[in-house]
Amino acid sequence: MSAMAQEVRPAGSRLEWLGMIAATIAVIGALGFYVYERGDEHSTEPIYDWQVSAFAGLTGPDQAIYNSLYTVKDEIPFIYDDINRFNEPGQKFHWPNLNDFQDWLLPPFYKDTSWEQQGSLTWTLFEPLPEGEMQGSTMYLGTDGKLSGQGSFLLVIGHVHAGFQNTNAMVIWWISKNHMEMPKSGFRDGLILQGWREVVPYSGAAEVKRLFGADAVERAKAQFNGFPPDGTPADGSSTDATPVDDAATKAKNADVEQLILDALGGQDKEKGK
Amino acid sequence: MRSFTRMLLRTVVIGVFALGALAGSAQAKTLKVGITLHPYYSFVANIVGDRAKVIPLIDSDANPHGYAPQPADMIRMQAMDVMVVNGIGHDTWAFEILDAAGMRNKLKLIYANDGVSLIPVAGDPSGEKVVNPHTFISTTAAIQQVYTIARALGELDPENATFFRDNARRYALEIRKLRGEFDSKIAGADLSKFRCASMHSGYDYIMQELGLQVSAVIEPRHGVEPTARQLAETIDRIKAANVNVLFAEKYFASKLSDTIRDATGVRMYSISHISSGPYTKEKFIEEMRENLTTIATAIRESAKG
Repeated sequence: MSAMAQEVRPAGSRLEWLGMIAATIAVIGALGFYVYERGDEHSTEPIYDWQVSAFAGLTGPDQAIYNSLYTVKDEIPFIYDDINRFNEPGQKFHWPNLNDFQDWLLPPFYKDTSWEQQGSLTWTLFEPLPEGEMQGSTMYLGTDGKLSGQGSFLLVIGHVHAGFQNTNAMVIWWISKNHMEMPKSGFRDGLILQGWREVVPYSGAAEVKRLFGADAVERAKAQFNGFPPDGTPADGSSTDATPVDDAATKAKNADVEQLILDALGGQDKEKGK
Repeated sequence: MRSFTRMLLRTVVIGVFALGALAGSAQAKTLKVGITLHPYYSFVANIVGDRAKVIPLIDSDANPHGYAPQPADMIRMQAMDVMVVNGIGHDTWAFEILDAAGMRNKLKLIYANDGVSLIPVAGDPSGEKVVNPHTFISTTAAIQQVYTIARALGELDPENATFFRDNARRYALEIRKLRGEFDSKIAGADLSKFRCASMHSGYDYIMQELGLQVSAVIEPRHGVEPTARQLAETIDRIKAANVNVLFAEKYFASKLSDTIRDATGVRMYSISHISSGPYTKEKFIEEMRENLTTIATAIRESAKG
């Protein structure tokens, strides 16, 4: 008597397979849609070959120097206004030089221990003439860092009269070479040809977009349009959080004010006021 | 005579009403600026001076790590015209409160970190680049936020925009002077022997700005304690990197730091997260000064060997 193996297929096996395939496609599709919607963890604007991400592409001291330069972009125009405020008529306006930055304690230019720790870059200002061959952009070059593998930086301030689209648009460039000469111009194409790469930050705005959706920042800003401090918003609704139209609202507001006073009062007590 | 009295009375009454209306108008113009974290209280208070009210969203002694929203938060939120948020992971509860209060897309938000160039958490063994939300424990990134907030408040209240901007600049210089004080405290110290680890990723921005490297972070994720295996691996990394300084959190002590100190022999110092205690205008500068003094002490003592 010999044993005989016989494969017995369930009656609905074909349907089971079809069901499995359909379920797999559905799961893959759903995951694909999720990834498409959410993007990579830190996906933001596309980064081109001629750009480098400050977040993912720069490390250590170079990342620190970039982050300081990124804040300096906001401060240089203020200092420019300060140092040119009392110019005599006809006197040439000038951009802050490296000595000015020492007065303002402005990193990455300010020579302190942090500057040494970050490679003691040598900074040079190139200030263009208003016309002629040397007309162009204001540029700050940081080069010859003392740390191994350290790159060079270039902060370019473009001017409309020199062919840039935006007045005083500031762009930060980085190159992996330790020593660089001051470029002849701050125009993008020329810098890219020399090997410079524009540094792109991963900013808080990009992270907010990733967390709350692409229009989160715009939505937050749009609320501003509805708040003239001395008027009513465009939609006619009240902008004051404490309207005093009726007794119920007044009572509620009194509660709110009391809560706030309690919160702040507690703090005052702690301060011994 | 009687008609003159009546006229005078009428004038006085109209005057009182007019003054009341003016007072009401002036009151309506005073912005009520909400904030989620302690440093933002200091930033906004220094920017707006006496021309706006600053309203903290949560109680001063609440722990902003894993905070559970309270009903009173919603009531406070109702009183705000605008709220300054970290928005990149350190005050996620503020968005829960927004939803609970039905204020999402109704309350104006200022994302303080809009213009900050973010950095990843340092010392992550996985090598994964995770956004570090502690931009406020810093000098440069803090200044960037001060400018962002001042600019946004100026858009909201154009009459005071210049006032806010000038205050922001003054305050930024005050913050920057802290670096000068720090520098004088470590003058001549040998920084080459300084190797540090931190209990969590809170201090990466300030360390990077000072040109100091964090070799290891104990918490694998913000507010998450390591497993036994992760802790053992971190201790190995601390030993391998010759770490001699461990920065722990001043307000939220953890027994883990003692374990690590005992296992590795590192010196331990406490740094403030600037996230507890009374809300004050001076708090940020005071606690950052304290933090920088602590770091300077750690550097000097590590230089002695």
